[in-house]
Amino acid sequence: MNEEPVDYRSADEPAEPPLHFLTTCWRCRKAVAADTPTCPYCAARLAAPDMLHRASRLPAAERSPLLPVLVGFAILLGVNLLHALIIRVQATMAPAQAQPGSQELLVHAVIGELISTVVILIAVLRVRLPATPVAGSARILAWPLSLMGLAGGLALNLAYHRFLKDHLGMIMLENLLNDGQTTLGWWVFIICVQPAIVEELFFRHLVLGSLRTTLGGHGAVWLSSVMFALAHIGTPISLPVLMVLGVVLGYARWGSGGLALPMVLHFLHNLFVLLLEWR
Amino acid sequence: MAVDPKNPYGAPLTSGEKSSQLGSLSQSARTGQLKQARVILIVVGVLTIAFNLFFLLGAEAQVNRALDGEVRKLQGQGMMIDQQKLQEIRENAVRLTQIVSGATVLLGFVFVVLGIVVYSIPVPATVLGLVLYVGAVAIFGVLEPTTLAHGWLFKILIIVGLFKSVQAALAYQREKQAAEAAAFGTTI
Repeated sequence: MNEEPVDYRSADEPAEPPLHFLTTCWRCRKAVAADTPTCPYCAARLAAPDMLHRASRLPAAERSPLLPVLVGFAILLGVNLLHALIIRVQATMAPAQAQPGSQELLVHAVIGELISTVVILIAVLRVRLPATPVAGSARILAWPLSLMGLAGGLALNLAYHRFLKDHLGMIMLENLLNDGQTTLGWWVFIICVQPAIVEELFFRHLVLGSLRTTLGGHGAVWLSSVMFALAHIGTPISLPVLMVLGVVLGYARWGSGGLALPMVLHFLHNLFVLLLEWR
Repeated sequence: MAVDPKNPYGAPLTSGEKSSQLGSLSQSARTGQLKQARVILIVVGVLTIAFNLFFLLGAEAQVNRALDGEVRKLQGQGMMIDQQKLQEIRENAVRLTQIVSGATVLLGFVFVVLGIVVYSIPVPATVLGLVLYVGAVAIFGVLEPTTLAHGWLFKILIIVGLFKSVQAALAYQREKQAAEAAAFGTTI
């Protein structure tokens, strides 16, 4: 049987507000409910109730890191979209004989990745995430299991792109890289080193970390991998395999408890694909 | 006039009761925003399914129309067309259009499902809805840049609506967790 809790306070004493609604009255400095229009102790006028929904009224420690991370993702997507559009417009407007070579592609890639790096570093510096403990046994197992996951992901990647080439007649961008105008070292830095560090900082540290506080481990890994795939809009046809790679990297981050493993896996994946296309 | 069953005689409320009423007011405002998220997600999903089913079913006719126009233009410039190669391009283009339209129909179903489950899993549903919508707009922008300008005002309104829904869902979840923790504390 449900019994109503008995309130033993006197009728004049203001009720204790629930903890998550507490704010401080600017006049009497007493704790009051955040959604009360007037202070129950000194009758000072407080903020209007319709202002209640603003997240900014929460103390910094209680604010969800998810919203700034989503804004960062939108900016990153915008930069990548602009980058892809510039390359597309250039390729469309240039005559067939003067299509952009690997040098032009390299310049675009450097500019695009420089902007992405700045956006991500600002986000990393601004957003604070709660610490997440990891079991020691999971940390040891994460390395061999992740390498197996990477091998599976690479096999899927190759099979998928082979299918696209053979059955849909698609030409991959990497075919254009090895035209003698640029060296492999540049592309290793642009395609392997920079994404392995910067993308992992954003997707596996910030996005995964902020999503874990609200969605739990598995939900965070899958949603962050959707975001990781969508961020690669320059190659929209590769989104399904990028999502699978994102899942492998997400679980590697979760299992190992650090960013070193996903960074190494990301680097190895991109290096393998680059070397395969460079031949 | 509707009578409040808890206070049928309209007695003046204590400050605690006022606070609790405002608390429930905020909860109902958040529920309203989640309802708005549900409407947005379901409408976007249904429209996505409808438009892309149309493209999926008429893929061959559309590709033929586009390619025939291109062929006529090239022939007008005095170029010879390899019919075998043209047929290969035609088949690949039809297949690609069907794959893209089919994938987008699936995306439409995902939006509808997210709209349906938005009350039971508010944060995942609204975050995924926002991410997928923004991502889809960007991807179609890369594939066909003119789509970015089509209905830009509606796109902005949808993105703002979904972003506000994420904010509401986060607050809703936080309050629900706090209420559950408080209830757990009182029973112990």
